[in-house]
Amino acid sequence: MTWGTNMADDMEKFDDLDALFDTARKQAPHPTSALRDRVLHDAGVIQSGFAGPVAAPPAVASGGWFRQVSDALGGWAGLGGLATACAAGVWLGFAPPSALPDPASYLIQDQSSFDLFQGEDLALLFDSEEG
Amino acid sequence: MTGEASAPDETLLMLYARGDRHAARELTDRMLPRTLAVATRVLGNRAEAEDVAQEAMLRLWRIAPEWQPGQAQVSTWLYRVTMNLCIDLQRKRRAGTVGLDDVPEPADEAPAAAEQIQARARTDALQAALMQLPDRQRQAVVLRHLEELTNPEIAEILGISVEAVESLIARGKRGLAAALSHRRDDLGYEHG
Repeated sequence: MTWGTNMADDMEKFDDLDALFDTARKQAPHPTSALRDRVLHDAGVIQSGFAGPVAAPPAVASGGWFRQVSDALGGWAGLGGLATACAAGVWLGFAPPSALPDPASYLIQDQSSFDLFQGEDLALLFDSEEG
Repeated sequence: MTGEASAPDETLLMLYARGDRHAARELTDRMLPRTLAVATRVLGNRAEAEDVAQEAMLRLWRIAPEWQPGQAQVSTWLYRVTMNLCIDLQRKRRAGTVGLDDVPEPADEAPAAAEQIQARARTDALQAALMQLPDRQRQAVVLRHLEELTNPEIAEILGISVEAVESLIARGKRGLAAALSHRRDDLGYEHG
């Protein structure tokens, strides 16, 4: 068999590259403990030089819409304050200070009346039609 | 730490910037093996690869406080830094300012079975063939077939188009096949 010299022929002669890559991946070099120690030493030295607060990391996972609303309002403390303010508003509505009018009286009126046409106007209308 | 073990690389980096030492260990265990592996394959020299890996990790620690969330994947950034360091080192080699003698990898202390010996011979042959490729072809082939990155990821790391990556890989594989064609028998491959 005569081997060609161009690269296409070479590909035909050696078609085990994928197997070779697979073998090489399994033989990947691993860091020695000495190298790992050097890298961690560097990390410690650099880290000790950081001054002042830095940006908070993003949350690892969100907890749904309730969690997002809670976070937006400041967490459980924010939600507690909001609930207290709502309760105070309801209480003021039903038991206002004496200096303020009682809004409940507007709500529980049993009837209201309004004359669309005054009696005299209707009489004038009928009179004119009978003419 | 369980939470950090499942945290994204970027979160770990920001935790590190806030003073979390566990985050540094977790990031090191994730990133250092990849960085060392790719540098070793590209440089063909274990000692130089260790220096490059340590320097790349050092640059990662330094950039941590300024890291912008979402700017890039930490692994992609680190691969890019590693490749650039390898390129710089290879340029210095050509300029004659760095020695070319390869330092052999530490010997495996476990008794080598016949299969392990053959696997080691094949890996060494592949490494020798890789070192015959032009730098860019070698980098692209290593990232694609040994690190198993996608072509778009490789394009981002090398700063070239996806089409250029495809071309580099195709030419690199042809070069490998040519370099290995006469070694089928001693690597234990049978003629098809």
